[in-house]
Amino acid sequence: MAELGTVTLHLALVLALYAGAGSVAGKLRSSSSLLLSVRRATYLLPVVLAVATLSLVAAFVRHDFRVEYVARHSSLAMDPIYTWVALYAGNEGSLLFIAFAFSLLSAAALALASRSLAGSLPYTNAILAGVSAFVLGVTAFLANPFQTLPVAPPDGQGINPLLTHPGMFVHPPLLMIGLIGVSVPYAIAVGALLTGDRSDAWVDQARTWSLVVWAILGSGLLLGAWWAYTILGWGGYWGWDPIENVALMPWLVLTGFVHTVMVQKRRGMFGLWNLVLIAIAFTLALFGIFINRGGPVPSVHSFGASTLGWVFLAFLAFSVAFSLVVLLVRAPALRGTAALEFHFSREAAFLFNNLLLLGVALVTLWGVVYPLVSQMVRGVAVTVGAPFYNQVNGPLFLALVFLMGVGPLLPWRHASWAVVRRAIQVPGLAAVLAASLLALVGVRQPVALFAFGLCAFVVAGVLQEWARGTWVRHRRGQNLVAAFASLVGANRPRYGGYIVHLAIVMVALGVIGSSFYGTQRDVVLAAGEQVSVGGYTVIYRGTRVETHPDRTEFFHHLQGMKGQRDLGPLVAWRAFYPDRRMASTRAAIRSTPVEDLYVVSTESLEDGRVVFRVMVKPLVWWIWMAGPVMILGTLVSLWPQRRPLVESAAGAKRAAVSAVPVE
Amino acid sequence: MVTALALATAGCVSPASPPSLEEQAQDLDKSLICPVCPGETIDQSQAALAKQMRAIVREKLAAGESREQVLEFFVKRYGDGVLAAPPKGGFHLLAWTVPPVLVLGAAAGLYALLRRMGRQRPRRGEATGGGDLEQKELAPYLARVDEELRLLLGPSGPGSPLPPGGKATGG
Amino acid sequence: MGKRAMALLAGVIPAVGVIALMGWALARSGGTPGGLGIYKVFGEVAIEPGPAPPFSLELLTGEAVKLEDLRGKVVLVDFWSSWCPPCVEEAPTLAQVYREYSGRGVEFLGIAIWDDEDVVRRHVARFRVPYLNAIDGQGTVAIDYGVRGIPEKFFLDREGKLVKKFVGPAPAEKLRAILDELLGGLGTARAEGGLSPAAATPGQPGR
Repeated sequence: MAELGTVTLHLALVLALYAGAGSVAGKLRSSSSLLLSVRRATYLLPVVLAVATLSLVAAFVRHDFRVEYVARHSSLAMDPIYTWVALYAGNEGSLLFIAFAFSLLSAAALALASRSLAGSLPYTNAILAGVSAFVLGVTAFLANPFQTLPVAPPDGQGINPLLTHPGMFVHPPLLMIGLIGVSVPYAIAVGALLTGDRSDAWVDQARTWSLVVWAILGSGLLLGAWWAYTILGWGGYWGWDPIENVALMPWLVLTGFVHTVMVQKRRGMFGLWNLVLIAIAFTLALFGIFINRGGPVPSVHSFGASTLGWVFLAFLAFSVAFSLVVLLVRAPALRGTAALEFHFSREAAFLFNNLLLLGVALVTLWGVVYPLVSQMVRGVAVTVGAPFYNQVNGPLFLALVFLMGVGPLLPWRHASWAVVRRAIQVPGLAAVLAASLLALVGVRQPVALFAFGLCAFVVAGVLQEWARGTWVRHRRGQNLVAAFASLVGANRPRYGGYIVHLAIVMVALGVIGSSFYGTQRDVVLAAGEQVSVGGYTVIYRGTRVETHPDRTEFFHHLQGMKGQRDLGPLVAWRAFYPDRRMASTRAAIRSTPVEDLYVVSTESLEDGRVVFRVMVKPLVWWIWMAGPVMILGTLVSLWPQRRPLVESAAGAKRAAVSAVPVE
Repeated sequence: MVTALALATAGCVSPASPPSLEEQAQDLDKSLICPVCPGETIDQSQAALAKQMRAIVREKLAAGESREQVLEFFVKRYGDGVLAAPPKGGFHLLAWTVPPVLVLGAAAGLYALLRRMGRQRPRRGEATGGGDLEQKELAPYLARVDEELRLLLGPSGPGSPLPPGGKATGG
Repeated sequence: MGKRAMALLAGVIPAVGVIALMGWALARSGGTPGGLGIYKVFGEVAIEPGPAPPFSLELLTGEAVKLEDLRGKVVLVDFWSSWCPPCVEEAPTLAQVYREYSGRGVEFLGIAIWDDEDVVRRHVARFRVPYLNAIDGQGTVAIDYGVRGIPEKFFLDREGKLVKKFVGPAPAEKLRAILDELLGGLGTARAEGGLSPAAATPGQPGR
């Protein structure tokens, strides 16, 4: 199996190199047969890599400990379902996984590209193949997962217990796919730029792919937060750790890109800026992969020592140089397509949104690299952790929420004060109302009040847009449901975007609620004892112990009470792995939209008592619920726009015109 | 949603009393990094050292020491790296000043740029609006409808009603 | 052209800066990830010599030991854990070197941290550790000494001054060299009338 794996890995590398070089040659020589052949090579790549990946899976399933990677990341005792997780538990397997996933993305990007892109597709293919070839080259020569040991050990070292969590089945793959996936919109954009294609044909394609990647990365980040919340045992979901940060940065820039690319699509503006933006996103994604796979930044996440850092850094440097050169050489061609007419318009709002998103991303980058700056300049080690980011990024995020509320209400091109005032009347009122209501019930934190007010502003703005649009259509004779459906259908990117905005507000609610409010207590309880935290009472009933060869599992049975109401039994789970001196916990969480009761056991004392951390965390539920909403919004945005008849569009214009005075 | 908010926050509001010792301790826990597990605060970490540091934090607060004194105690032993964020002073002021300077500078630059661009072109609103107030207020809505129409018809669609100042060229 | 150059610089400078910084950090950390946050390099660590933090501990034998009790001797304080492989590995070396030097005004004090008493006792019995042993259950001594890993060793001169710090397991020759230096170097420094003892110059392995 190991041999098959190595052979297919090398074969894949050859294919990728051929696809890369062949695409360029085929394009330059206008050889359609060569271009067809390299296309086929790109389609063949995922097939070959599937064989390689499957042979690694087979090695895991058959406990082939002769394969070093299998010996290091699994054991006979490991539950077979964790084979999937073990596959990417280390650098070697991750790289293979990344290469496989990326080959699928590349093939899909090529297969789904519209005909109008035929001219630039060879360059796109070349860039994609180049990225593939790099990952495959590193995998084949520096981090081969099929490396065999001279003698097979009787048992493997087993999987890291922190990885044995449902979140681990999805979160790391999504992040890996998301990070490498940024290459796809980048390749499409740069391909078009290289061809000198000044039409906007590539814009649609790049928008679609950037949205897909954006959703994948976003889901990966959310699932990672969920994993941290349920398993790490400190009740947080985001620690501003470098590894988390480097996945957040490209996501933020992509968020900016999916907005301004809409402006390019609809107003023909920002063409150059969008290229810069996608190049930055690509660079940050590569930076993320570099930090993940051997970057010199201190982090909670240790993926095992590797010396791949230099290779990834070199590739990062090369790609930055490539992007810069392409942009510099080709940028003049992009000049003068259109310019902003007025500094107060939706376009301008988009620009400020970009500025803030890019700002948060770069500030985060600064936080990631600052310890190294300090180390280099002063020789002093410092940590840049949560307090820094909360203070520096917090205000920027609030400003972003504000813009998220205002931007969509502004008309294109030019907004007069009267129009703006009218548009923000209702949302503004809602914001003030919500803040006053909260103040009445006792919320006293000014920042929290302000932030909740902003959330209300955004929600009211979105609802107002929906209500207005629906009403216009309703007046044309459709019933309300049909009117709403046709409204969304008529401009899916926008209304899907609104749904995503609601998801972001949900995340914001959870973050604001849990960071400004919430109670935490660390207590030592003997069986039968209880503790009261934030209106809840937790009674510790007793512990059931299960002994396994590699671990001891503790099931701490608890009972939760809210006031006098019995919330039923809760189980806080904890496992101790003596060989690794490592514990893994699973918190007992009772989640409601209002607040979470969160109990995690952190230690079992010798006298039988147990140390618990009991927390009440308001509104965290909304963060997790935002995930499906975000995906729904993205899907609505992505759904191919059907082209309705001209008559109905003209009718819509008439109806809209007649509707205006009513508003 | 607002109800949930109200409910959520109503439960955990304390009258404006100074934070309890335990609250102060938890705040300190979140400001100190566990030296044996980089990146994790002693609030997060289950390492023995983190546990011992948490105990010391509480001991010192109970003995009447201030937040600064407790932080100083650990900085003296473990260096600046034990703080979860760089101190706001001396060289490390750099860490704190670069972000606002960067973002505010960029925002100011962008604003100036947009203003300049705005002046260079005739203002659409005024041009179309003339003296008729209602017409002027209508203009953005009409523009929006134009946009939708253009989108529906496709970029190459006939009779794009966009004024020349809008999109200069489709290709 | 001016604008283009400016845009170029705005892009190039941060990018080159970050990449160069990463390269520097990779070079420093020997290409290993996590790099600068964790001790990757074992050996002597530069410290500012100064009075050693005082301590008072109960030995495994039941007696008490205080910093003042050890004044007049060159002292090696070793922070260790029974579950730490390098600590176990170097246990025989430490015992061996101690036997060689115990008659020459040298004392070793092993302080077990982050550990359970019964395993510590078993370890001491297994390696017949000949020197003083204590458990720092609350970790207060370790925190006072700024211990961030195990094993970590501190060398105190005859005046109770903290003069050297050694991270990781130390080979016998290295231990002997440091002890010789502290035993003899002190005299030399006095003879020369220097302000600081020679032993206070850290960070030069092999001296």
